[in-house]
Amino acid sequence: MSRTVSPTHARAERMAGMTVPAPVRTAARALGGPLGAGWRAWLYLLLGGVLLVPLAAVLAGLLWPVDGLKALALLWLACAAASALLALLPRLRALEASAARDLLGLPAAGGAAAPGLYGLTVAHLVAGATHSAATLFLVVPVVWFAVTGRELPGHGAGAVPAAAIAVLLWVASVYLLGALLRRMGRLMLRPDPARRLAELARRDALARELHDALGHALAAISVQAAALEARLGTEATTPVRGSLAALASASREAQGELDQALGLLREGDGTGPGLESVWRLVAGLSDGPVGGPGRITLGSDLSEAELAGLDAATSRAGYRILQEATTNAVRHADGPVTVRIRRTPKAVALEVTSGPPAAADERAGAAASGHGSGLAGMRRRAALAGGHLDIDRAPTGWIVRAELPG
Amino acid sequence: MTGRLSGAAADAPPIGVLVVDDDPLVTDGWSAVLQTQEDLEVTGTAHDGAAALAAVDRHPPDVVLMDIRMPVLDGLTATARLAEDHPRVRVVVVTTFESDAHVWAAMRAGAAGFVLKRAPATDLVHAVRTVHAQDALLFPSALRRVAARHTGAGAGPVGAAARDLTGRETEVLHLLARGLSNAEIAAELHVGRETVKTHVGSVLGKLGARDRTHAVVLAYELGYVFPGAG
Repeated sequence: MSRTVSPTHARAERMAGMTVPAPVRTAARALGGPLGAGWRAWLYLLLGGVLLVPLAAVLAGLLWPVDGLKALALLWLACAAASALLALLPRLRALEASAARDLLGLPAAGGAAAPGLYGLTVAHLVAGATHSAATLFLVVPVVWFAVTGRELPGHGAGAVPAAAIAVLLWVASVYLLGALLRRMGRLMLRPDPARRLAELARRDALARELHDALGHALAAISVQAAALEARLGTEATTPVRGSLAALASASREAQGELDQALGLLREGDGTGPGLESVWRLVAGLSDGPVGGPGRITLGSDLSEAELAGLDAATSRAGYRILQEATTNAVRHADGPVTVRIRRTPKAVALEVTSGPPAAADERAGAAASGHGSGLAGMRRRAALAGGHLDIDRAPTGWIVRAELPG
Repeated sequence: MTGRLSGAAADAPPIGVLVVDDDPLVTDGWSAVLQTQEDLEVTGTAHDGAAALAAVDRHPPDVVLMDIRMPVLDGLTATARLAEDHPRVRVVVVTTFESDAHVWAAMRAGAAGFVLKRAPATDLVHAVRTVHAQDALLFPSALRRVAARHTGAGAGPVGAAARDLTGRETEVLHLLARGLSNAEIAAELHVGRETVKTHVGSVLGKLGARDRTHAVVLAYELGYVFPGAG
């Protein structure tokens, strides 16, 4: 089974207290291809409708005395106004960010506060409610009449052809509305360059501050621990030595983790090789002692020049992810390793396929060699670049898939 | 913990070390660690780059442990000056973080290696002895990681010079980058140590490098040796 994790989003959702239930997400991801796209679009529309149900029911009760088409039009307008108000709730928008990512495949950088999310939320609620109401009050009755063999009220003819047409129209409407909302979402959630620059500057300032304050203090602690050990010399008893060693190793570990975190924070605007260097990466691994010639194959839809022209953040994150994934693969797994770089309409897709990890390696190696933190690092990198990363741990082999905006 | 943390040659004069850091907690701590070793001698401490240059002028040590971020004159500039004025003094740059962009700059400026502030006492002592002996690269895998993070893809002006290396010299350069000593390279290539010395000498000459560390830094820099997996 495939697992999708995007730590920042997951955290934002937990903090907001609302999230698309895991089974729904799993169901949505289980289906791929056009069928899956339709299924996800329908779930998305249904969610919009369900979110508006409580308010719509109250509004319908208020409008009960008015009758006919006028009431319907009034109810629709009232629901649209209610959507505009509902979308102001941050908790609802957190849920919407999660829905847009999982069901439309659109990551909303910044969670509930993502620019453009308000507009998408209003559109989603109105479209979802309209579609769900039409399903409930038009499509379902027509199909019901066809199934029970009754005639449509007011029409002499049988309900079967009407039901067939209704179902076809319904399926078409799901795809159409889904595609429309996805297109709107893509335009609305597009990252704003000015915001991105501000975010990078904020990250850099944060990195500097952490470095100066924490890094300095931790370094002083570990140096003094080493000095104390040296000064005590042979006088130190075994328990004292043990405490000193624990003190030194704890401060070293903390510095190591801070080092890694700062490295990631800085990468956003730092320098470093990009995806165009992937050929050299593969060549370098093939030369190495664990790689060996012919063990790694690389296939790319994009030429070196096209890769060099990608967004800098995507390019660097992509390179690091491939570096980590291929290094892990040649070190911890047996058999050939395949690297694929593909272009999708909205993203650059990276894929590293390898055999299963050597049995002894999976547990011991993960903890000892930092393999586990490497996987977390890859996910963090993908999330920071505005993409996501899945790791498919099938018994036949591992597949690391990343999609980065490009 | 008196005596030696790891094997050092007996009867040689002690290696003089100058410890430079703006934090007295760090200079005191390191001095304490280094003083426990019979073959090392702390010749002094300094708290900024300018004071470090003055101390070296007064009494040149063999090795300087140099912090990067310091008031008055930073460690980067001080390292570049020392490389020019005192080429025989070996500088080990000290960094809080391996991800620090200045580490690579210091290596290019002429540092013989770098060591993390959080390194255990044994690593610190090993760093001083290794750069003093000049026989092997200090912490080759850490150097590779830093190179992977900071080198670009392009070939610099030394690119042309690198193409003049013979096949054998290229092999030697790759082995240098892996941190092998002359003796280990000789064993690997099944040749004599003197032959290796000749090869290393011509590699340094062709690259215009001060020493083997500088040669490896240049090799990474121009993409001649690729830092790749790390």
